[in-house]
Amino acid sequence: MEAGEVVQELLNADKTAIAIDPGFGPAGFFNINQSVVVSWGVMIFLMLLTLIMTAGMRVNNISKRQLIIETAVIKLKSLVGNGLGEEAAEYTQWIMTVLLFLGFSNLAGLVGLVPATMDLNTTAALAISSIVLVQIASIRRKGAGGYFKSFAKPIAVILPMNILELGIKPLSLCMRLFGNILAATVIMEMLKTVVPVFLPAVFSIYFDLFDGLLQAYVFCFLTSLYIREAVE
Amino acid sequence: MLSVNMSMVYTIINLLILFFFFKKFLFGRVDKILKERKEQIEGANKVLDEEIAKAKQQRESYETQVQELEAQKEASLAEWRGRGFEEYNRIVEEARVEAGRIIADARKDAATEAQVLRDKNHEELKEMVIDAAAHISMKTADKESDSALYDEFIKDLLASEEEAS
Repeated sequence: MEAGEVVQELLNADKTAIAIDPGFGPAGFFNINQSVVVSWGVMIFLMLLTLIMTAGMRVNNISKRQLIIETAVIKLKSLVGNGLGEEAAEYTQWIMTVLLFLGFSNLAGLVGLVPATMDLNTTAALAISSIVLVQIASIRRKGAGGYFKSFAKPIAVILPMNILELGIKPLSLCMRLFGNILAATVIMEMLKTVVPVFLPAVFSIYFDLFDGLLQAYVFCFLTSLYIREAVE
Repeated sequence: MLSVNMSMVYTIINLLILFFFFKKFLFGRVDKILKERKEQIEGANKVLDEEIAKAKQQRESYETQVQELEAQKEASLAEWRGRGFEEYNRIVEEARVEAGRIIADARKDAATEAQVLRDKNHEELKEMVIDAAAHISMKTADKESDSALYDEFIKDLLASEEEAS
């Protein structure tokens, strides 16, 4: 089986999990994709984990569970905060949420599920929400006038390019994430066809674990940079 | 085929739900605990700073007291040293005066005794001269016996002079 065939097979596969027909709009437009269902699973897992880990938190004489969750939150905040900088520190929680969601969504492959990020809808949703946040941060920082003026900076000639960037940035974020996860899945599928035993397990460690977390970090890092750029 | 549908919107809604859940139950709880702990530590630090300030104040107070006591001690020592020196001088002066008086008395006594001895010797000498004159007048003597008599007289006189001195 060639790579192109695998890609075609993955892209053409029916992704619908729950069909919704409200009686208007294009057919299948309101359907709930498998990626949404997987993201529900990820959300439920994260929510339960949060409730378990943060139950009965105390100021003194803390449990190991509390120590783990406090350390994790502090480290994550530090990791995200470094990219955002002090001026954009108020957006740390959103980036942390995206990082956790993306990270665990990409890890879904470890338990036999199709990663939510294999669906363009998921990556597009993440990219659009991130870019909307970047614009909100910029408007809050510079004001509406300053925001529109910033398109003509540093010189008025690059105004069209700055406007184009509004679409290019989310598209690049979206496609980079989607492409990487798709490529990893394609490689894994081909590997399973060529060497069905042992080798896929070894490569799964890289593609499902390391690459998934790496892509989540890259996405959040780039979003942080965009926000930082917008508020500076 | 790449296609986008309402799943994108559902995902955004999911993300928002997750964000608000984390904001309340994860970041909110952890931040609250960290804030309370920070306040507790700051409170403890404040109390500690106050205690340190109090201790410093007390130390300064004690140091001032110690300095005052040292000054008092030095003043007392100087006073008593002065008094001791005066007493020493007084005793030495009294002793010197007493010694002078004793020496003067002793000299006076010695002079009186010497005078008495001299008077006594004169009396004895007079008696001897009278005795010698009586002997010479009662006895007829030759030239040699007279000389012997005079020698004996002079000898007795010298002996009595030596005893007197």
